[in-house]
Amino acid sequence: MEIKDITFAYQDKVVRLHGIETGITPGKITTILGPNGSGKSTLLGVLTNNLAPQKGKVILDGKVIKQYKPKELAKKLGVVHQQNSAPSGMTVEKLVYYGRLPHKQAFTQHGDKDAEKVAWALERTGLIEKRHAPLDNLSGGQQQRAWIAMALAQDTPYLFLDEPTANLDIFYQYEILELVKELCKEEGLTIVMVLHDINQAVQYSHEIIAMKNGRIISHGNPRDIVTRQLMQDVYGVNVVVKDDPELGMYIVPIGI
Amino acid sequence: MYKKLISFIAVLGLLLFVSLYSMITGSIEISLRELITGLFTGTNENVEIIKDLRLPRIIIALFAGACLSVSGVLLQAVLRNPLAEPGIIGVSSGAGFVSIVMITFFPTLYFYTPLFSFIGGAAAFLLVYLFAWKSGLDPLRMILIGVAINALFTGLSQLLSAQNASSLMSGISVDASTLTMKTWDDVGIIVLYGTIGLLLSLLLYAWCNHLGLKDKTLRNLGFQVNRARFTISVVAVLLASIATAIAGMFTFVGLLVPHIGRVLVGNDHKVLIPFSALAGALLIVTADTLGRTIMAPIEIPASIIMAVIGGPFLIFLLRKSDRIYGN
Repeated sequence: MEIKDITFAYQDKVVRLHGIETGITPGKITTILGPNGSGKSTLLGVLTNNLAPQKGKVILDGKVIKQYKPKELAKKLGVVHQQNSAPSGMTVEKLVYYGRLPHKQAFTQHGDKDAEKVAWALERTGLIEKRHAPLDNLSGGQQQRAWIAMALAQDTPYLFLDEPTANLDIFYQYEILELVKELCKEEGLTIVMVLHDINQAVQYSHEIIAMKNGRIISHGNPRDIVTRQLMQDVYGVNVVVKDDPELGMYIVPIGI
Repeated sequence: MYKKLISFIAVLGLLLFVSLYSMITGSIEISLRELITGLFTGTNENVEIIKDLRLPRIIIALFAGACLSVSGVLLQAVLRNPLAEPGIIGVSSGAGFVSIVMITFFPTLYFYTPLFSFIGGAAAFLLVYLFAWKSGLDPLRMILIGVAINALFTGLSQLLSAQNASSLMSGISVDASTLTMKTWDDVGIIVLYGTIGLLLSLLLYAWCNHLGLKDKTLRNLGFQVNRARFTISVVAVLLASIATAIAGMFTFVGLLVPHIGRVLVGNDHKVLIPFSALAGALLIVTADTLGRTIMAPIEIPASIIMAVIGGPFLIFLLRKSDRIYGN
């Protein structure tokens, strides 16, 4: 995926993205990092065709995403949004079947292929036993996995996640991140996500895009780009960057 | 599962019972046997009168109830707002106003009343949508704007009817519906357009269900949200307008029936739409039958009876169930 000179502003005309120029490496986990208001979720919105940039274009498999038919694009990229809602009484399985919508002709029933993909998505996210449970009865972590399962059932090579660990207890945060890692490694998915936690980003990403004020400050392998200076530039926080032979690289904030 | 089945059977049974009871009760009373033999042989004079006067009224009540209730279900889905209802947000009064204008000034175009009321209903809906839209539909602002639009059109209609109080106002009354003086021509119109609208709404059940998810989620599933919204809105306005054009104003039924439906059969529109059609038909035909019998020969407008029985019943159901709507 190539991102060419993206400039974006909402109706208030405040420019949120200034000429973003970068790319997403296929088959890898890329994490977008940055403080609140840095434009990371806005960038995710543009990459998933939810926000139309005033200038520039996003090219996916040789074609500008705006030129895809809605269903064709939905077969290429799946998105898990930060805030989701479903009507009360919706069961996990029904929700996951929504992921098959792009593959379905109007006024037809779901087929064997759909059932197979839904079963696979439920299995991957560990929700087989909960398939008939209403969504409202699940824990926050299980709900998040249900929404990921829906995007998986879409059967797309690209998966975008907007703050998938937000509002979850730490156990569920790692559960989601481990799932993401497996999906990349075992299913070959290209994953782009927005995270808040720098250590989680370093630990689980192949590449990091660090943003501030609508601009990319740095993009690359976490080991190469995450430095004391970068953290100071992006977050204005004083950190110690340590490299432990057992733990790998980790960052400890020590003040501002 | 059983609850749904029982609810359907109960509503169907009641619908049949009330419709038949309604046909044999009133200023002319006959037995069910007389009615049935009369309908087939055409020799019973009383049955002929009933056929001319009472039957059209019953059929219109059934269709008006079904159309308004389903219109309510569709509007609630499109606007994601449990308070949306053709009466409250001004669709019915817009439809009523334009029909009154047309009948007052162009009485020869009577047969096209549904068309004009559709234009009026659509205009009211568009106004609500445009004024309430501010990077998304805020449920509260939408209802307030709807109330304002409704007040505007109701006022305009009253102005017009006050001005020519004695003229050709047979079809439409401004704030209450009596369903008297209905002919088989009226029946033809409401059955034709009503059936089309109801069949279309049955086809749209999946889209209504989809709209339970957020727009951005749907867009990323390749679902064309705006196209679905537009189509469902057109059908909802058609249903409300046709009912208003023929049967007059019934506020509240589009709110009451879908909520009763949600409590009894759930949020799945595949079941909710047909159930609301039946329950709405039952409600108005019951209200109309009671209205013309309990204080005979004085007729109480069906819409008044409906409000009096419907209001407490809705409160009762909502108190019993915490499943109101949506999320």
